[in-house]
Amino acid sequence: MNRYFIYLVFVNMVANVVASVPKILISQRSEGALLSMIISYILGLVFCYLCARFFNLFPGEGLPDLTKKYMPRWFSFVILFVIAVTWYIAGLITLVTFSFLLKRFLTPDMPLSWITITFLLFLTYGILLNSKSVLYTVEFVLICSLPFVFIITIKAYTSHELNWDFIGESLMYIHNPPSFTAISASAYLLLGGFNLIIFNRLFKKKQQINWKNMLFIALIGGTALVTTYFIPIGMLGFDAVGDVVYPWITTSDSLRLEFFIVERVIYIFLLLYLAISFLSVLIHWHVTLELLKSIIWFKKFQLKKRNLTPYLFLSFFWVASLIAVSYLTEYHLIQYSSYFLNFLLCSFVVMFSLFLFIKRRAKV
Amino acid sequence: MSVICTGRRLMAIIVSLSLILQSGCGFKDIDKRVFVLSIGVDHTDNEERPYKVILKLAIPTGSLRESGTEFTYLTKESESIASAIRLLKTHADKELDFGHAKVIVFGEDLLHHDLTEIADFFVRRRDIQRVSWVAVGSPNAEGVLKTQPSSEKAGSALFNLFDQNGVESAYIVSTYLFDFRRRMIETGFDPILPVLSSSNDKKKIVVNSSILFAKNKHPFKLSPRETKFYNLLANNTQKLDLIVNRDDLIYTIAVDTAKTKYKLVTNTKNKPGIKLDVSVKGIIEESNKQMDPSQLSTYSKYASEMAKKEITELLKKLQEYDADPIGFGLRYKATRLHTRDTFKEWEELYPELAFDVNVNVSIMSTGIIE
Repeated sequence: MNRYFIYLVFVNMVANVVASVPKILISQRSEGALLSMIISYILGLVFCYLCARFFNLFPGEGLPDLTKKYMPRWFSFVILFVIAVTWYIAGLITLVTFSFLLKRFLTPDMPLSWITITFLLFLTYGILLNSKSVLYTVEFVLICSLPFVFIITIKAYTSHELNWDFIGESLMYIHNPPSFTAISASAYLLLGGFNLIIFNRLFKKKQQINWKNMLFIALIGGTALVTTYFIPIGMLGFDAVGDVVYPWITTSDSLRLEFFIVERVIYIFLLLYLAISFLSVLIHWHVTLELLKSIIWFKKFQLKKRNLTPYLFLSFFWVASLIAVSYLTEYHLIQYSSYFLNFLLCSFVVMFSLFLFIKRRAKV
Repeated sequence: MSVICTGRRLMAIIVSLSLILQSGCGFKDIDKRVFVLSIGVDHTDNEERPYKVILKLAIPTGSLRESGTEFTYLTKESESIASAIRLLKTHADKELDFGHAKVIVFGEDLLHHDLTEIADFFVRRRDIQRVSWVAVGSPNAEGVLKTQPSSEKAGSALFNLFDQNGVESAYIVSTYLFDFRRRMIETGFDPILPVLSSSNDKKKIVVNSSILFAKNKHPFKLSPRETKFYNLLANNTQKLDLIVNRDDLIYTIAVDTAKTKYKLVTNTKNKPGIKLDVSVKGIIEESNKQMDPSQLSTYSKYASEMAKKEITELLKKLQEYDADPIGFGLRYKATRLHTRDTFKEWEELYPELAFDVNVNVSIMSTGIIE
């Protein structure tokens, strides 16, 4: 697979922190989070592999192109619409969580809606770009931010204050039966590959995902999952981490870079995640927009020979996110994120039956 | 095509202009802020207003050379820390900024009361660093904060004592705010804080002892000597000295590297115990007699025996008091599968544990002279 596929997978792995994944996992820490993580790790890798294999069969074609070819029109409409809404919500959760984070830690005096609007302005610009430019943006921002993610991870693991006994204590709950919520939350890390449903349009050359790609994804994914869960426990304490609202933000505030320009890691961390969550929303919403464009297109809705349908969708994006940001509380956000992640995992049953169906019809 | 181009361009302009709005809202200029360097909380004996909050503020000056050390203090008694700080805001003509508060001092009297509410305030607020240091002020926090050591430069305000870049000493326990919180909440891992004592003439601060508060127990002071050995056990402190006194020979070892490992042994046959291995490397720093290089192993042996005695005494004392700042209970929980209430088991086990301490001191040199 080419490197852009890896980037798509990467973004989800890194951005899980702003999708309430650590919080959900940690809330289940004495109710089977560990076994769930192991299960979802295997599950996620299998999903990632199957998805890549499927799209390898159809170089240069996204899911909308395939459903149009091999499915009845009404069915294709319904399924693509549901997928579009799912992807929209995935982006929305990241957007709202990060707006909350900014409000809490970086710009406490700025109204929440202003923070969201600024975000939305940049996002609007981003998602209207063509898919290729979106991938280039993803590559550029990731290359700029991954070294910092790497440094912070290393710093966390080598910190003197990281108490391995807390991590040990959390390991002592391994015998607890897995929980569905925890499985679906941790599976989120490895689901980035599914953005291929649109981005496969760009991968026109015939290619094949091989074991080296999978090994790489497995290695990085495993590290990401382990870090996401164990570092907050090791820094903040097995019992004490339970009542922290943003485990990773508080963890980053517990790290100290003595000899850096900024001593408090939290500010580097927040700026870093500003970039990464932007990417995450950008990818998800770009996919949403492209999916919507493929099913709903008003030919006559034009101004000066320019079709305004995408702008119509965008105005929906704006309205929905502004409503969400003003009505949700932190508690509800985490609650709904967890429901959404549960739904997401279930919806992959549908997704895979769809893949199977298309594969049968296409006879490849 | 041109429509698209202008559209894009317009969009780009709007996006970049929005950046200007960003800074307009939440940002206060530095000359409208005053930085809090340290926060002190004392207990008043007044039931209605139990907390006395002391803030040490740095006075901003134009040039560092002329300024010297200029501080001011704000004090207020109130029923909660938050309300005291809200009221203190009206005592200064600038916005109080807690982003640089590095040291939080609790008065000694406060320790006899419930600390949960106070710890809660500091952890709940977003702008107080989780990496600020927590300490106990003796006789009270106000006294410690108002002390101005002659060597202190503007802004340093105590934190040089705790971060291990300035003063490095085995007598100083440094506890970060997040560490304090986790120790307060976790079972089997008790909080320990350094004690800052100010002299009567407000010219000197001494920090060489520490205070330990196990859950539901009265605070308990560790002497400088005990603090030193606690640091050796818990933090592998390296700037340590061991004084050995044996048959008129008195010598001091400066330790370079120290490493402590421990293991809980609870198999059914023997009495449950803790096997603790300490290995220490160092050189001789001072002696009252000429040292014989060929006798280094003997000197090492004497030192090992001495350290073993001291450490066992400290551990026994902690056990007697049922305190666990090193985290033995946590280790117990971390090594037994949680199929039952392992901490309850530990609580019954701890008072009966035997300590098997092995200290291995190796003296590498007699120093520059023999």
